[in-house]
Amino acid sequence: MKHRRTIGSLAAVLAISAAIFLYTAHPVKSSDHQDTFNLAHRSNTSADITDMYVFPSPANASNVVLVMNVSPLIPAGQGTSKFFDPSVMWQFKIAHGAVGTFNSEDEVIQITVSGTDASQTFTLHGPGKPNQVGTTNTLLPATGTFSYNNTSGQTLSNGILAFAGPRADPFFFDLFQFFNFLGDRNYSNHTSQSDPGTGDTLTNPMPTFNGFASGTLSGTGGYACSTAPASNALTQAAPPGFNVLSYVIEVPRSLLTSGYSSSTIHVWATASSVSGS
Amino acid sequence: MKKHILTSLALTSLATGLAACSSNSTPIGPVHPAASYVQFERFGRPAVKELFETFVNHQVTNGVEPYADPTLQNSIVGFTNTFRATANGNFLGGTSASTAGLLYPDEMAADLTQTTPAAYLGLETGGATSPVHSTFGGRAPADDIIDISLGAVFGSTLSALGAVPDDGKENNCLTTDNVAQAPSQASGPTFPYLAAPH
Repeated sequence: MKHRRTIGSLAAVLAISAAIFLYTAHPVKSSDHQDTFNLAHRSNTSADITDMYVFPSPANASNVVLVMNVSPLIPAGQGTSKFFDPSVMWQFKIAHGAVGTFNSEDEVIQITVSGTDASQTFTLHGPGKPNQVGTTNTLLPATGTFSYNNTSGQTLSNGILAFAGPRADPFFFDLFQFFNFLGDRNYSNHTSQSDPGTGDTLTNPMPTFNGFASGTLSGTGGYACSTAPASNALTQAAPPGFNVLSYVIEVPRSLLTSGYSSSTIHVWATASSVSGS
Repeated sequence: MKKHILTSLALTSLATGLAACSSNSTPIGPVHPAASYVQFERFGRPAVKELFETFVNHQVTNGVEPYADPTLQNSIVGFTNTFRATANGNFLGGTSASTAGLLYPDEMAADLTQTTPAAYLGLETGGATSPVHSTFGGRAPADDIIDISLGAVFGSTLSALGAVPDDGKENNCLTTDNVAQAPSQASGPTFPYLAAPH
């Protein structure tokens, strides 16, 4: 019994150590989290776009779903206490054309928000032709509004179904091991945005992810791959995982194809503000 | 259970501490209907900025359009050259150019005439990244975009597709990170599809 208690205490200490490690040594945890000092230091982190998804609607084959996830690293249990920054305007920017084309955006969906708490109201603008092509933009006429964390979604006048609120972050990556051989990408290895640190340098002469079976694989230099257990910052290493704030915008395909030269879309997400920072 | 509770407490207190340390306050600004908004963050393909571009260049890329971003385009070539040449310096160059050709511009492509499932890079690779060879493209919440990207950069994905001759510089230790999505992260069939918050 005493042993069991000791082991339990040790596990707790290790768990806390792991948690501290997560939040200090390696603050970056998704495919695009905290990628500049500005984004990492804002008190409301919803300008920080962590991931984007584009997929056919599982519920309606006529629709396509656009997801923009923001506000990384919301701890379990705190999702509904995080809100969107009303000084920020988010956009899905879309260029139509075949694969391999380099067209500028010819259609945008814009989202603004008012309020700072659970009564936040969102306004969707578009989809429509942008007033300006490029990185300085004004708003299209409003299409409709929707409320924070209404999980049924709200259908707008043009048929768009919209949601804004906390969800589980679907992303997974052994980022800690990545940082072990490419420390430059770790935000905490830089003293400022302009501090180059060690740059694009392999800090480990035998770069490898963990989790390979013994003797089965080797790297380019003939060294063996690591057989240490793989970790997963977003799930196993810090149960029960992290949340994000999500925009889930389900759009009739026709709104993204009718009147355009191609039904192939190229999508990117942006965050903007009046001050540009 | 105890471990979980303590971990949660540690996370909560740390998060609270971090929030308390911040010097900024949340703006309560109204929407500016006639104002000009200036871009300072951009996201297209997952992990591209993080993998290929040095930290100092992230701010450059965040402030420009993806189709006019030579900083990122050159970074994809330079990074791939560096890593695939590390072992013996006998780099052929084809894979770097092909990787840049595949991943630049930093935009997510989807063919809206297709009703088959989304799969990251499925459109650009003729369905090679999709278990059902879907060419919808886009990105599904369950896609293992890290393994797909690692396979293209460090592995033989591109040569297997016939995009480039095999340069023999694959690093098998870097072609997968060996982690999978947890069940609590998995999306569902009903709106808003992404799993409920933890």
